[in-house]
Amino acid sequence: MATRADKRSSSTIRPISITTSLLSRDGSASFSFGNTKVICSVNGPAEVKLRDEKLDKATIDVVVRPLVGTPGTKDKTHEYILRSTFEGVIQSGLHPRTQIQIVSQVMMDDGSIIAAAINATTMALIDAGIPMKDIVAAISCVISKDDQILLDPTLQEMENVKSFHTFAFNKTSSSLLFCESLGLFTDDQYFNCYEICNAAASAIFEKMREAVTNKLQEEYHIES
Amino acid sequence: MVKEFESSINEKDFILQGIKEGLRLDNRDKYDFRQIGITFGPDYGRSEVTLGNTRVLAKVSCEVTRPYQDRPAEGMITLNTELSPMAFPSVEPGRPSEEEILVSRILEKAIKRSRSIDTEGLCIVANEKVWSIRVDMHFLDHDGNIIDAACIAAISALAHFRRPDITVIGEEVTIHSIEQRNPVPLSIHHMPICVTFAFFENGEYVVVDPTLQEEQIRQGDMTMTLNVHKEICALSKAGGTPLKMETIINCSQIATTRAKWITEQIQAALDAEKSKK
Amino acid sequence: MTSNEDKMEIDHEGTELDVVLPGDPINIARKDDLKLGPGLTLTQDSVICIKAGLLKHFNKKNKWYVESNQKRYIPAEGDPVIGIVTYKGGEYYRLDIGSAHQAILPILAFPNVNKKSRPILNIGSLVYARITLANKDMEPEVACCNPKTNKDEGFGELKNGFVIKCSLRYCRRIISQETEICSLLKKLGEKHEINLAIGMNGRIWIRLKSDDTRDTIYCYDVIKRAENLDNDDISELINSLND
Repeated sequence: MATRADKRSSSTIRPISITTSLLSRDGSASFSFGNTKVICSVNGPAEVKLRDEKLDKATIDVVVRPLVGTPGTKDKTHEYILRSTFEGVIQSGLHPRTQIQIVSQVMMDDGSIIAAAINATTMALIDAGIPMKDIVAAISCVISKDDQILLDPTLQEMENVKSFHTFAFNKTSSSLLFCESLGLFTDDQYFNCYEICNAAASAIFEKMREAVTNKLQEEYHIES
Repeated sequence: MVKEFESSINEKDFILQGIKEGLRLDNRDKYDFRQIGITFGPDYGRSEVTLGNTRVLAKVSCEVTRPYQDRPAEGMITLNTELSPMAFPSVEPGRPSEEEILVSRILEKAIKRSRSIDTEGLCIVANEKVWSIRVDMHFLDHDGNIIDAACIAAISALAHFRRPDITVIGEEVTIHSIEQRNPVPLSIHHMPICVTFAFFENGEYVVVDPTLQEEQIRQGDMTMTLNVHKEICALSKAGGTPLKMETIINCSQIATTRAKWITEQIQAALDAEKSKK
Repeated sequence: MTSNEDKMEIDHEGTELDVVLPGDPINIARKDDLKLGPGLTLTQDSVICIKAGLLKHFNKKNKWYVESNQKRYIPAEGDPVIGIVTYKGGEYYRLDIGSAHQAILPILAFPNVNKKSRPILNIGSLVYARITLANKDMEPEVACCNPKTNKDEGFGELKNGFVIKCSLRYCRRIISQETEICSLLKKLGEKHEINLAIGMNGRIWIRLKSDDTRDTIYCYDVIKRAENLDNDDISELINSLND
């Protein structure tokens, strides 16, 4: 098996680090895969502008900001992805006529940005105490020129590939919530990617649980 | 957009009373800055600055472009200071607020107009190709005085930045990747530092580096941009309470010592980063 | 010290850290007379968790809830809160209590009030009130008197002083009179006569009888610092106050 530039095996995720409650907003979290880092803040349930008001549920507003340059089409697409992924998970019916604002800011870009953004958003929503019926974890992979599946690719590994896939899964049933695939691939390859990413997502859920446990342990030392 | 409510009368009165007695909530002296934290990397030209709870990220990037026709032998510097709802919940993306314009104007004057970066050194082939340097500033958390924090972030990121090396043979330009050849730092003439003052009770009371709650009750503000050589690069006072001559002179003296202190902090952070590599 | 009589029930049963995440199914053996508190919801036939936190339960009453911490206040009936007046109307005031919707404070929700003698509150005034109506579809309502006794019971306008903003859990810890925090406040109270009003919405009003700014900042600082300390560290903090 050909080794990767950072000596990872093809199905290893870069080191994950999660920090929560780092900003003064209601909820905030940063999530990183190695040198890819996204910070996300959540505000709400808060007052909503009249024209965005929904009588039966909360309005979910998503803003994605790139590291370099002004927000463009790609960021709008990411906003759409985040909103549609989380709309089904957040129990927005519990807070009608309010707004939940999610702001996601790229801090370091070394590939797999959208996966990191989804994971950061999950952690920030947990931190803000927004009611959710499930949580989401996402991971990317590429199929390289020599038909190898590389999990969690870096920016360099994302160049010159046959295809690029991002999957987001929920925790309870580990079923697919969102997927995006670019490039040419066979259905066998796709299902291989799916399997590998699904396994990786459960590893990410473990990291998320660990982060929440650590924070609670710090806060509730009385009980521990 | 999320509406942010102002503090209560009780809080405003209390903070004002404190300022009159020379006391601040964070036990600072009226002329003291909050603690500054500067972290660089992992890539060149990335700097994250905290000033108390205020937090700013600056990222410098570059590309080769065609120069302006009236300045054929000069590179370009662009600053992007779009406010994001992460720090300002009341901001609507895509619609610049008054505050945003004010912030970008002051930073533009502080960094670009003060000629702190040698733009002539960014020329590759006159009339044809120059480097365009872009500084993106992201406001992550706002607890007052974003201008000073953003200025520290921008100038430290510029000082940390390295652009790819180039070779010019006639009209032929080769850009060497970072792996091929050591990248080149920008040539920085001087480091402009912003020092912001807030005024209360018709200019009778002054504090440096106001917090958000102090900003809410200030009657006027002034930002001085100066460098370690005690040169004033810019002075911005957008309305507010009229100030006496003596106040401004007094402020400029305070600003000199603060600018020196901040420059030392940036330098120390840069040195620490260099020794790490 | 103004404080709430309602004491939170303290759970002595669950000693281990039982961390739950949103979506976690909760295994409940007894289904009879089941009571679900914050952070839990019933779907078809199973109970799932909707907030991250510690799962707690009382065996006797078969009551389950998730203990968690957050900054954003969600109104709940009976909670004492601290609000800021944002609007003055003929019939009511509007208060910012930190929740998504502003709370309504009817003019008649003060003791001994009639149309002629209305309480005078200005925009920006601080008010200590109790939530009388909390419903996700309606604006919350607050009152400054107990309708049964027509007494203010410590509620009303808060004059002077300062506001400490903190997490909702810290407010709960203070209001439940956790021993360590109590002794910390007692310690502060030895030197300074302190008035405190604790809002469950993450706001603590503090006023020293002397109204001395330096002392108030000192107390503000101590109370704020204790927010992120565990009980051992608070004891240490108390000892350090001796010198």
